Amino acid sequence: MKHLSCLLFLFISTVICAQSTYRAGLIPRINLNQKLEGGWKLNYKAESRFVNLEGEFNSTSKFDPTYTLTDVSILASKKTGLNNSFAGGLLVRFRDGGIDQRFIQQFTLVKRYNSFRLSHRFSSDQTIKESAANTFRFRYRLASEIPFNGHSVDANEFYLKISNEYLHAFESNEYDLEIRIVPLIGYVFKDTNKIEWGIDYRIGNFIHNNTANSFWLTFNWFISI
Amino acid sequence: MFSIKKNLLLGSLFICTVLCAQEKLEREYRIKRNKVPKKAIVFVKSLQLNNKIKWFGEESLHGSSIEAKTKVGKTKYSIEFDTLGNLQDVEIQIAKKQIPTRTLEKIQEKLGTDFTKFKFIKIQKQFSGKSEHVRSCILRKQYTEVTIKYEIVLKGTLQKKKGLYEYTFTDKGIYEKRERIIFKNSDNLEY
Repeated sequence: MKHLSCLLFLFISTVICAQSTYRAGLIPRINLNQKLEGGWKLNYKAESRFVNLEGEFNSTSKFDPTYTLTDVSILASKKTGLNNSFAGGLLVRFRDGGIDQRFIQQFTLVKRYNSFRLSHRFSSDQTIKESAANTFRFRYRLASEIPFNGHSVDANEFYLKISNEYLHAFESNEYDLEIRIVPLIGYVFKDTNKIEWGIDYRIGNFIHNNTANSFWLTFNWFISI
Repeated sequence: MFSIKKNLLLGSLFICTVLCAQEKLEREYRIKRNKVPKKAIVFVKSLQLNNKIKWFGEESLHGSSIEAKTKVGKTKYSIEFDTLGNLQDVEIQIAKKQIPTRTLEKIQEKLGTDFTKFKFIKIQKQFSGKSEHVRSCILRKQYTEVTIKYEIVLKGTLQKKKGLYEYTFTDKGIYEKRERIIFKNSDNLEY
């Protein structure tokens, strides 16, 4: 695991140092989860994106805080086992260029270990864009939740959440790979109310020698009812 | 007639409440060695486990306690004390094959009546009694004067519903109690 993390870090550093662009901004996100009968659950999510800085490395950057888009989604999930669930739903993206629709399917497995939790999320999505080619993606995310105190995260405690995601995207017969690394600090007010904040780093388009880096200051709020 | 129906309904509800498992709710947090009662530190030292000891405070429906956890080789130890440092029990994680055959048969017989399918996740052998007897038990494998129980965490399926449970059995495999383990919310890991 340590060797893999080192290799990943070296790879990303090498790619960043090459000619590449970057964007930095803010993504506030709210997640509302509603438990239903029979192992069903509804997830309502809303997030917006604000770009504050963009440019190329080794050249001057442009500070121009701009609202970019808002995503609103609803997913229905069903528990298929003790530790896993299957979900499907729709995301609607509101942006300057129009309204996009994204159909999402995901399978999640959450495993509890002695002193941390690990989740594997496999998902696919199909984005129908108003003024651009449609995109099809296959994603895998590994996320870990590590308590700062004790063997599990209890109320009024902090935790560390680190996730690593790989997104394989196909658009107009072209393929791209995006990698995301998201280290976050979380706080549990109670089991049904949590917040997280940190950096969501994304690197894409590097296989086409036109690396695009994104650094998003992320704020997540999870509420369960 | 109405009152008989009412009594039957109340009776069923009562039986259901008794049969239904209690929920296992625990809060655990790390504590510094200097906050641990000396009595507890002395006892753990006397077990000669010679590995790093981690101390935890634990709060549950049954009250508060202090726990020392360590691992020697592949064996995990958990030593529980009350808040004054008096020994409550020592638990050692074991494999299924380390449960005596007759005891295991009785355990599996009970679980077979409670579930259509079950799978052992974790088994702990629990020793309790006077601290000097428990110490002898751990150091010299002398099992007289100590109470031995088996605490088993398992995944059980009943009528297609799956759950995680913690069962306690005596050393003879006689059922004592069952608690249902409640999973913490994992929305932040799923979405």
